[in-house]
Amino acid sequence: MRGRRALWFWVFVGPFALGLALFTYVPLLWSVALSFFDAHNTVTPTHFVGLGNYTAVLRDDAFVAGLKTFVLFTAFIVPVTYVFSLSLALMVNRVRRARAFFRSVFFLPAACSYVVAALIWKMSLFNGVRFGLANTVLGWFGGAPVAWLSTPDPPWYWLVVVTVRLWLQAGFYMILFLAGLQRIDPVLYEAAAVDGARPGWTVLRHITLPQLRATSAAVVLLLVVNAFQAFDEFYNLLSDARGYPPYARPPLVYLYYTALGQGQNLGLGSAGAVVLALVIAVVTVGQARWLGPGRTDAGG
Amino acid sequence: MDGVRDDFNPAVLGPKTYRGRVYGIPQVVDTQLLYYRKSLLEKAGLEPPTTLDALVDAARELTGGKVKGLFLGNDGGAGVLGGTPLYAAGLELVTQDGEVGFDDPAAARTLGKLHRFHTDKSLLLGAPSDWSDPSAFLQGLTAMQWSGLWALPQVRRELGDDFGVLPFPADGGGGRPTVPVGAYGAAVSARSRHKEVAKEYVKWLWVDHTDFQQDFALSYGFHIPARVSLAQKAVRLRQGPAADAVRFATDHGYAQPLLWTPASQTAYQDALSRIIRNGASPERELRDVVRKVSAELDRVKKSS
Repeated sequence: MRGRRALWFWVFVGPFALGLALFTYVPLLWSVALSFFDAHNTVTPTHFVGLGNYTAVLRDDAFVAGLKTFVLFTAFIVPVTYVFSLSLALMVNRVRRARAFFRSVFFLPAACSYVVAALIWKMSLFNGVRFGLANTVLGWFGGAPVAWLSTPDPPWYWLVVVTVRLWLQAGFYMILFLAGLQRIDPVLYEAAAVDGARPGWTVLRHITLPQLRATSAAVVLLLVVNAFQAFDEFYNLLSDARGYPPYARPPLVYLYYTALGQGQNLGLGSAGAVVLALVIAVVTVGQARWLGPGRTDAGG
Repeated sequence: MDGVRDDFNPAVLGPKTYRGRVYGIPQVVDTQLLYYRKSLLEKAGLEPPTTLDALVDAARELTGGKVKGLFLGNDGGAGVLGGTPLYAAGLELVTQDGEVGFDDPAAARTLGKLHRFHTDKSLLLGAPSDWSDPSAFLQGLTAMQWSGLWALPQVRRELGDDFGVLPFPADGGGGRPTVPVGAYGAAVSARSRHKEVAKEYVKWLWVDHTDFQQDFALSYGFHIPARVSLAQKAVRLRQGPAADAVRFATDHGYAQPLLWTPASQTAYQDALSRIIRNGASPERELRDVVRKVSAELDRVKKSS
C-alpha cells in the first residue's frame, strides 16, 4: 500500500519535478557557474576568472543605468496600476446592471500579447508622424507631431511604455480587487452609515482599504515582480534592426544584447543575471516582511 | 583563390582575411546610400550636398510643415550610420595594426555636427517603417533618406527620374565621401567530416563559375557582384543612379573591420546616440568609447 502510494506520487509529481530540474534549476546553476568564467561564445568555458565578471558588470555604466531604469519604471507603473485597477474595481462593483459585461470588457486586454500590444502602440497609436493617433489628436489642438519613442528629451517614451502595460494588466488586477471587495461584509458599511460616516472618501479610507489589506499586499507584490521582469514591451517598442537606444533599457534587455545577441558574452551576462536575481530576491523578501501578504483580511 | 584574388573587391575581401589567410569568399557587395528627391532640392534652390555642413543646411532648408529634410532611421541615425561619419572625417574604426582608429579631435568635431540635425528638427523620427525600407521617402515624409542599395529598384519604379543618390558627404580637410559596404561570405566548417568536398564546392561556385555569381547578384535582388570584373560587365549597373552606386561602393566603400566586435559596437552606438539626440559632449563620450574599444581590441588580439 505504501509502495503504491509512493509510485503514484512519482507518477504525478515526477514529470513536473523533472521538467523543473531540467529547465529551471540546471540552467540556473549553470548560469551561476558561467558567471565565474570567461565564457565568450561557449557554455563550456575553461578560463576561470573568479569575480572578474562581477566587477566588470557592476562597473559597466550601461548595466547600472539599466538598474536605475527599472527602479524608475517600477516607481511609475506600480502606483499607477494600483490606483487605476482599484478604481475600476470600485466602479464595476457599484454598477447594478451589466456588471459581468463590464468585468469582461475591462479584463479582455489581459488576453492580448505584450508583443502585439507593443507593436500597435509603436506603429499606430504613438508613431512619430502626423497620422499617428496621438499626433492626430495633438493636431486638432494645433500641436506639432511628437516623436514619442525617438526623443529622449523630454522623455515621452515613458508615456508609451507605461500606458501599454497599464492597458494590458489593469483588468487582471481589477479582478483581484473585485474578489477582495466582494468578501467585505456589507454589515461593516451599514454600521458605518449608522455611525454617521459619509459615503465616499471616509468609507473608502477607513473601511474598504483596511479590509483590502491582504489583497493589496498581493497585488503590489505581483506588480513589483512583474515590473522587474520587464522585457517584452521595452524590446518591441524601442529596439530596431541595429540595436537598442541607450535610454529606457532595463537590465534584461541589456543582458539580452550582451549574452544572447551577437555579443555572446555568456559569462558577463550570467554575472548580470545573478546580480539582478539578488536584487529581486532582496526587494521581494523585504516587501513581504513589510506588507505581510500572509495575514488574512480579517486579521489585517 | 590564387590568380583571382585581386579581382575581388578589396573592401569586402579585407574583413574576411586575417593575417593573410582568407576565411570566407565574398558573394555579393551590398551598400547604403543617401537618396534625395531632385524636384524638392530644385524647388529649394539647393545643389546635392557634398559636405557634411551642406547636408545639415540642406536638411534644415528642406524641412517644412509636412515634410522633414532627412531620414536616418527612427533612432536618429546612431544605428545605421555607425562608423560612416568617422570614415567621412578621414578616420576609421580600427586601424590596420588593430588599434582604435578614431582617437582624434576630428572625430568629436564631425560627430558633434550630427547633433545639429536634432536641434534643427530636420530629422524624420518615429516613422512607421525604418530606414531600410524606402516607404518614408516614397510617401513624401522626407526629402532625403539614408537607405540600402536594395531599395533602388523600388524607388526607381515609383519615382522614375525624380531621385538621385549620394555617398555620405566628406567632412573637414582630411575628409572623403563614404559609403559602408558589406558582403555575405561562403565559408566551410573546419569541423565537418566532408571538409575537402565542401571546399571544392565553394571554390566551384564562388570562384570558378562567374556566370552563376552574376546571376545570383542581379537576378534575385539588387546587389553588386563581389568580383570587380563582373561588376563592370553588368548591364543593369551601367547607367543612372545604379552606376553611381557602383562607383561609390568601389571608390568610397569601407567595410566594418574584422576586429570591431559587438561590445565595441554597443559602446560606440550608445555614445553616438547620446551625441546626436541628447547633445552630449562628443569629446567626453568618445573618451569613454576609446577606452572601452581599446580594452576590447586587446582582448580579441590576445585570444586569437
